[in-house]
Amino acid sequence: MWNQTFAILRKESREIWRDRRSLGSGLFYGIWGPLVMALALTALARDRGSDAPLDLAVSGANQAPSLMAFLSERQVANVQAPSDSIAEVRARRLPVALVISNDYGADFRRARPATVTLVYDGSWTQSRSKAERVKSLLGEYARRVNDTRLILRGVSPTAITALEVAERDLATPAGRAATVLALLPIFVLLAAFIGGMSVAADLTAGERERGSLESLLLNPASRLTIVLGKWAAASVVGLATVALTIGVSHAMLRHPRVQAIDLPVGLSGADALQMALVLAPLTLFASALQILIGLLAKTYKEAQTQLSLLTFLPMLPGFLFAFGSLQPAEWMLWVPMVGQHVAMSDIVRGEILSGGRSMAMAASSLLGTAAFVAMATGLLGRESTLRRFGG
Amino acid sequence: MIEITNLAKRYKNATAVSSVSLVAQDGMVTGLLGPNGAGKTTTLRAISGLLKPDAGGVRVDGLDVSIDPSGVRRRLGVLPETVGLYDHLTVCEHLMYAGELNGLAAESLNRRVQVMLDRFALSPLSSRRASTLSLGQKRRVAMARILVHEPANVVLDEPTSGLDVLSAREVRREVRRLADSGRAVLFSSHVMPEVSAVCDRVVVMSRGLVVAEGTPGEIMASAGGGSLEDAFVKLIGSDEGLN
Repeated sequence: MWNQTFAILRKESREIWRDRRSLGSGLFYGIWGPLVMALALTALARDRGSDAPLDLAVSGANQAPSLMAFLSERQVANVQAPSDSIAEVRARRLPVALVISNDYGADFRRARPATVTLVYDGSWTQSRSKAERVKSLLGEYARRVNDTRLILRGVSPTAITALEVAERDLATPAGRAATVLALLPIFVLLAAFIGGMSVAADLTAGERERGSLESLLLNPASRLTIVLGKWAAASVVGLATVALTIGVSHAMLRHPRVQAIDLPVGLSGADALQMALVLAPLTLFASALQILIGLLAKTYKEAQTQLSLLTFLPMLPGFLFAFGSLQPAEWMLWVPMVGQHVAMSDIVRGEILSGGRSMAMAASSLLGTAAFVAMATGLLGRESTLRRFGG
Repeated sequence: MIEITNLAKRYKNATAVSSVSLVAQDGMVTGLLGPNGAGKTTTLRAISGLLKPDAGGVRVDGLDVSIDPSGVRRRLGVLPETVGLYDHLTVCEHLMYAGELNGLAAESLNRRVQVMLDRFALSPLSSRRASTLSLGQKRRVAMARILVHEPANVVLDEPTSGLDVLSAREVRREVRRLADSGRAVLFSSHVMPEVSAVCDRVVVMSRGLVVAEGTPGEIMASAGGGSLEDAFVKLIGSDEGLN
């Protein structure tokens, strides 16, 4: 029986390798996914947050020399504003502009409220965050001037400060990178399902549609042998995709430009290995489920549709966790996909999984795998599986 | 030897085979003749156990297919209606795969594959992929594939359909050779001259029943003379479904 299983595995692998099409989706996913994430991370690295220099377009700067001096102390450079700043901001050519009114100098000297207009676009993230920063600097400057004026009039500034609101924004580039990295668990988890997907459809509904299933079933090889061979072939592609995705993610997080962000999390070689070990049984589970679905489908097209819908399944725990309707708990270990999702997040945070925990996750996945293989074998023995196509 | 006794098979809303009994003897070509929809394919599929009959049974060399399907399949070479080759495999790989699935050991496998390549004039095509072959070549590969494990019984479902004259003649010669080497050959067809030229015995089926049985000569005589085709039309009551 094992010789025959290997014969099927060998033959299917050869066909998959020569066809390339079904192999492509897994490779594409494994390489491009982590690269897109790397791009997002390096973009964050460039946006260095509150202490990075900011160019601010100011019109009427000569009215307010002391404000300008204050701003430049705070790394905000005063650049000459275009003639119509409002139009420029509206067209999104300029994120933020400061317009100092013509009466500013006179008002300021007479200690009357002097008007400055901050022009920005609240629906444009870059504009909003820059305006936010300029606004807080303007507030700081105003407080300073207020204090001086009060002292000159013999009033202690603290008397009119009923509340001192101290703000500490803890968002660092590394912190923001962490939100991007939170996607990593979902991402590698998906690889277990995406890799073998089109291969599984090809080996089941595809084989039936091409008319070769009958010839295969006419051989003395048992139904279980045939299912095992096909499942093994889909699993090999799935495992390769998982390995590729983890490998590329690992390399991506090691890249100097990503390292420059000073990430609070990393993916060391040991972490990557841990991930692979946790995901291997889940990949076998996914392939068995995909083979079963492929055999149930009436046509190749239907199999493809249902299998792509299946990829939403591993995303589900991720969403539930993200929306807070689910908290990690003990029982999750025993639910394939959910347990692995929690484990992936823990590994990304640098945790080392206990042996018992890994075993529990592997056991539940392998149990599910055995059940799906058994169901697929029963299905292949039924004459309706053959008749469903070309009766 | 293939023995079918009182085989019956009903699908959801139609009876494909009401009651069919027939024997394909070793060393003989038995033709299964009937119009489309007579139940030929259903009968042939029941032999290999792909279909489970509602009544009756099938024995191949004395083995009951419902009890030992793998044992029966080992003794059978079955050519289904659809050729079903794998586009991306070469001719040689098809034969190797079939041999491996039939449990041939490495040394006999290579020898048997070589014998089959020579016998079906496939040696020059050995490393060609199936997608590049003509229909006649594909049929030869399919024939070679089911014979790699030297089955004692051969079942062919319309092996000449769609082939040109020369390829069809090549298939008929092979059918004859198989029977002459002592095998039981059962093959279905609705081409009259082919049946009368090749078969030792003919079983005529119509609407799920056996309506006549005997040598081609006996059948022609029993239907009152003329060609086999005339006899056939008389036996089945109409020429509906003949072509």
